[in-house]
Amino acid sequence: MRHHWGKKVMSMLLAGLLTASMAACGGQPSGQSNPPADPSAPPASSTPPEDAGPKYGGTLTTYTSADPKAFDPATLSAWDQTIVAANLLEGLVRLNPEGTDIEPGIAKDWTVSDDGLVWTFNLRDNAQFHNGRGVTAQDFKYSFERVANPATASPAAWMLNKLEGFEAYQSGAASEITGIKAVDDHTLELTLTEAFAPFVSILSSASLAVVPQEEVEKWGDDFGQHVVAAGPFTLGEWNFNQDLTINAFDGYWAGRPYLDSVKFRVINDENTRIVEFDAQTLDIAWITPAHYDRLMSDSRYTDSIGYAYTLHTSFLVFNMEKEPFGSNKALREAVLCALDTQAVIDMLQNRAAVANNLLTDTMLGAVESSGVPPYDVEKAKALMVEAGYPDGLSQTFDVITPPWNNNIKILEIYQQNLKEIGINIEIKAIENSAYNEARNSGDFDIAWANIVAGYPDSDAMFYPLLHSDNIGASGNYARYSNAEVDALLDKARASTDDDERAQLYRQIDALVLEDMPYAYLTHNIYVDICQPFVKDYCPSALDVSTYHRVWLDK
Amino acid sequence: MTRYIIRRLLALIPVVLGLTLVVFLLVNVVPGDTARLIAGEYADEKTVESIRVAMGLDKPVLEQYKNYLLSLAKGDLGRSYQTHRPVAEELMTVFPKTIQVALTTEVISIIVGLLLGMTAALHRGSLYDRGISMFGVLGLSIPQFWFALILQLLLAVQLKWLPPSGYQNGFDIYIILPAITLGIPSAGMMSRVSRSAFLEVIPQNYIRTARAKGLRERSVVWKHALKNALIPVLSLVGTDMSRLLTGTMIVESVFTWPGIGKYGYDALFYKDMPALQGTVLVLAVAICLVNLFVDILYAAADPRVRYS
Repeated sequence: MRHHWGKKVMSMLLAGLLTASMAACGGQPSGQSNPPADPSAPPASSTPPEDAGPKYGGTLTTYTSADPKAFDPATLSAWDQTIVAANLLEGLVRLNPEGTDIEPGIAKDWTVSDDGLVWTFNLRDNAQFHNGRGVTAQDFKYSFERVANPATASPAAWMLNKLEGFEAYQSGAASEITGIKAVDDHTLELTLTEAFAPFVSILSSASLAVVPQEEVEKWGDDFGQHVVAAGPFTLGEWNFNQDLTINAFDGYWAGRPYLDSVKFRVINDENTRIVEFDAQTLDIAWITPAHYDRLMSDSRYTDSIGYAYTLHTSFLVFNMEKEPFGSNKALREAVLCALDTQAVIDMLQNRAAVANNLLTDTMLGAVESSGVPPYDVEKAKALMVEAGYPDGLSQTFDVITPPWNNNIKILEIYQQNLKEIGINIEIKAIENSAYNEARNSGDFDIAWANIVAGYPDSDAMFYPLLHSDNIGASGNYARYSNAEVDALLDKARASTDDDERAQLYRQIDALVLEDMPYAYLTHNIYVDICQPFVKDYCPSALDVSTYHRVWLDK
Repeated sequence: MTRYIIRRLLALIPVVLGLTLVVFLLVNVVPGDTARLIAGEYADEKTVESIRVAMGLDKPVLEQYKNYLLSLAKGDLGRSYQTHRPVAEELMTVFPKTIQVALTTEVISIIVGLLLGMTAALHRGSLYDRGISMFGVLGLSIPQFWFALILQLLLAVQLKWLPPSGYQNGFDIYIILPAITLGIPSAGMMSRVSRSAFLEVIPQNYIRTARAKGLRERSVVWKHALKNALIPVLSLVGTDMSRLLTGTMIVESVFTWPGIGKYGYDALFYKDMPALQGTVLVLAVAICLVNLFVDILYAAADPRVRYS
């Protein structure tokens, strides 16, 4: 949701202007505009000079696109909230700065029983809330039950629905969730009704952060604006719709962050961010397409470009309940073979990678090449014959998409591709909520769609998209139903053995490839730029930037 | 006069009722599920359903509207779905900032526009006149977002005279760029209208009389001509203020000015009904008040206009 507000004309104008001004200053492009090929390579800004260690102090100025509004973990939902929230809030585990995995948070370690049902978390002795009180297991029980309580109306309630006693608590039949037990001050025992491997990944959500009961009750409805939690930063000055400052928390269990504070300015317009960045009044910005070549080739920033191989996949969805695509696999495969995804990636300035798999490369069970057929027009034409349409299809099909600038350009390329094999599509860019409604209710033939993993686990992509329980709004937009896939998905969720899970996911991948309800297109690569003095910042694969390890060299 | 003002203020009530109803119905006709928007993509149906119930979104539209009106009658604009803060409080922080930039812009463009229009009319056909006409046309036809960016690049990035965007509490240099961007079309329009108004007034008999009785030219223009030429300018101020109060979204966005345009936009994006209703309501009342104020000014400028 970060950059939908691209304004084509403006970008072009700006590009022209800036190229002119650069030529005047004698800017010399160094020609390094391709992202590093290895996704596991450390971000460019992560290596400090050998002699200088991290320094304390300073304020980093970054942005959000809208006012973050509130930081009550139980009510978090928008990107502009989570981007800040991860720095204020902390739960049992937290995301690593790269956003690709979890790491211990307030729980220093944990164990799972052999049957995968009982998770025991050992909490740190030195974790404390911003008000100075120590964090106990009882606080987690309170915080989790608060999220699960229907009166809280938390968007995160579902994250806890595998806990024993969740249903009874939600329906009001029980006054507590029996599956949450504070064994002692620093031991928390969570019992599930069924084995659920992604559980610990889900616990990294900022929505499940621990909050102190006394502060929640003190502030009531205004807790979101006065949040007191246990993250590395505390809430500072907040000017509604202008800016928000968070300050280093001296009592953080891992020691205070290097930065004194981080200031988030509310800047909605992505070109304004670049202007601010150029004026050096903003330290970090997402690079807009019009400025990409200029900034990437500016030698000042060679070491200040950060890449995130996001846990994000875009694809075309075939509605499996509608003809002709629903029952004709050769036709669906013809579509996929006809798509020149590399052309799209070139248009995106290499800020995307071909999706050979639903999963991005760093995820469990991902394989280099899973047998997704590559771009091949001849093969596509042959498949059209096999599908029974040697002369193409006579109808024109609508492809629905949200009205984001890039999407239309991307689909225009695919439109040309498909025309070559005799399939005419019309790009129907519709307003966000109308798009969601059509996509969720199956009111389409083909849809452009994407998925961003909600937590760093393969389950976050496979389960919503492919399980028949999730047909509709929950993520299975293709309305795909395959009992064998369902069974394997359930098995992979229940297994606590990573090797077995990886094996299962590969098996699912192969089965789904046989049916091809989705034509996988690309994975996003997110490219941020920072001022040269910003060190150890890296954009997150899950769009949740954390600043506790960032420092300023100035 | 007082009775007239009271009558006009009372006429606001049906306007507000009608507008809130229209907004309520329109937002409900537009597809998209508010509860789902709040819950996010990953929530399950049960979670969405409990949000729907907690927010009263499961009730029929008309009942929701009735509840809204009942609390509105008590002066309560409700709490935002997004922030859970009282909407009235939020509007109190954002709207004054829009008024601040709108008023600054309007005052400056009235002064600049009038001076230019007057000069052009008095030197009709001269180089001044042609230059000013050109300014008027340019001011009206420059695309705002483009002009905003050029100003930013020139004055903030290249020359570093001004901050590119942002807001400081109080009256600060941050207001300069948005005010120029918004003010150029206003001043352009103002100069054209006041030029033709002056041209209409100047050949009239009373001006000839004033000159004939030996008044100095300055006094003729500033005392006699100006007052009568003001009427069309005043009606323009009414419509222009409405534009400045409601149509500043792009400029607010480019200069990150935390006003009501951005607020209303966010409210619409998230289908945050209380925030959206509050925005529409405040803007509608503001526009009605601006027009009322302009009507009162008419009477002050032109003794022939009487309200009873």
